[in-house]
Amino acid sequence: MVNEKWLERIPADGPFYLFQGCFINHNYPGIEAATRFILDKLKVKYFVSEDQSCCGLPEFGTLANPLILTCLVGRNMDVMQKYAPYVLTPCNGCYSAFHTSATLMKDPEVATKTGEVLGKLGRKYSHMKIIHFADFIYKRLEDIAVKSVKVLGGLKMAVHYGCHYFLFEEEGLDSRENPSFAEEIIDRLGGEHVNYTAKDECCGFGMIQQVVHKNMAYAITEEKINSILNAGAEAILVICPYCLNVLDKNQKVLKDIELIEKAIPVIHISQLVALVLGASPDKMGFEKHSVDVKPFLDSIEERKMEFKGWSATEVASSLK
Amino acid sequence: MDKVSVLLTSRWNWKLLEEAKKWGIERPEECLSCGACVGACPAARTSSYNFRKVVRDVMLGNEEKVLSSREIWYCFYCFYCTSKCPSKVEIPYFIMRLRRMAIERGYGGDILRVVISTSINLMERGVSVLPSDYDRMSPASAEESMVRLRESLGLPPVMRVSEKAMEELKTIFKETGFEDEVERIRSGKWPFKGISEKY
Ligand code: SF4
Ligand code: SF4
Repeated sequence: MVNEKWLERIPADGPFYLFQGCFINHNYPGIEAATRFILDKLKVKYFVSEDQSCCGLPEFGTLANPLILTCLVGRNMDVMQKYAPYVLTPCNGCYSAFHTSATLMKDPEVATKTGEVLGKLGRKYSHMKIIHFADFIYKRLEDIAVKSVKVLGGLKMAVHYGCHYFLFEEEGLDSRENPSFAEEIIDRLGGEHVNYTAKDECCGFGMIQQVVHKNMAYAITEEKINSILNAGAEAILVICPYCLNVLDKNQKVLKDIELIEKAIPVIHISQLVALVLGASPDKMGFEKHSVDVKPFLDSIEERKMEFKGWSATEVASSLK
Repeated sequence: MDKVSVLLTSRWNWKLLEEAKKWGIERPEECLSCGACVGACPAARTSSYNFRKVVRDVMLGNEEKVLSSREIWYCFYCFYCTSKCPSKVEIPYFIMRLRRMAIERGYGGDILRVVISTSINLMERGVSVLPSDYDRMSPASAEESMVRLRESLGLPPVMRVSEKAMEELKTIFKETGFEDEVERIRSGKWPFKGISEKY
């Protein structure tokens, strides 16, 4: 069951500030292209600005300095709120940066110091609503389904939400216990989701562990992938570029040393939705993926219009 | 409180605990040592890490032992533990807080050195990850090929932070102590105290 309260609060039509994240911008531009494609298709207005900087989460994650996060987040929000009242992001890292900053700001010492630093810039810590792009997709799922020109044909997909999506349950669609909204998206667009036991587990990235303790990171990815493969999945759907990177690249390595039987494509939800809305597969940046996405692309089919006869209301409206 | 808890709390070292509880971190001392977090924890499955031991040592005031250890650098920051903990201890924030305390005492330099590149990028460009960080090409050609790829996808060149914004960021880097720490790590001037592998 999705969090209806949050669903109601997601503005269906924007306008949004589309947060520019470094990892998508510099490594997975296909996710950005797909995200913009979807917003354009749905005729939703969005803004970007060169006055925006990085989110600050990687630096908090390494140096454990709360101020670098709160100051960057506070400054960015002060910049962005001039464009739109809501921020959209297709990255769990940027997403959790905003929420983590809000948590740290509850500490009076952190809040005071942050206020002082931002004051020197003539800025203040402003609050904006952060919306994960996956949530937005769910909000507009019916429109997307109606506007879709392709369908996901029968490929079995496992969803990996990523730990940081679940940090702020009141402002997210699902809880870590048994999330299901992305599975619903898959099914609605003609695909078939599979459940697996390690769904709520980490991808292996571990903030610094993929670099600092590589063997630990690989071991966790291995567990995750084997659970996914055991469930019979043929592709993995993610909502975060970091999860995409780790699950995709680590699978290649794990396959080479035979710790997993096969490697399967990893797709970001923006890419999947853009494709059913008619985006060209050449424009999704798949050249940056390590595991070949061909099995996934091959499963996408033209949507056949089934004619089941006119309904009474349709007849009525056509006569108007 | 029963007798056993009184006995235990009488041995607590409030000073270290209070320092560790900054940032508004709640309830670490309410850890029941039930092990639910350890059962869920990816770090526990792949290393010697055990949060119960860490929190116990903080409460007993074993400052050097905790802050000089590799133990506090294993956490994946995945929050799986918090979702399982009956006392809702904010374990990952608590571990982050311990890392901060360790850094302020000169520990952790060896670990930070290998992950400092994002912080350096942020200082120089206002952006944490550059195309070259995930590519084997030189920085210039990685950026060039990313610009080309982005162009082919119909996107603007690459993320750029305006000069005005960079000026503001520089003030933030200075005022938060970020620049100082990054420079010391980058130049090797960190008072590198080795961390202890045994716990
Ligand atoms: S789950 Fe919570 S109460 Fe149980 S050992 Fe871990 S931190 Fe302590
Ligand atoms: S956040 Fe850290 S302590 Fe908690 S489960 Fe993840 S790795 Fe373990």
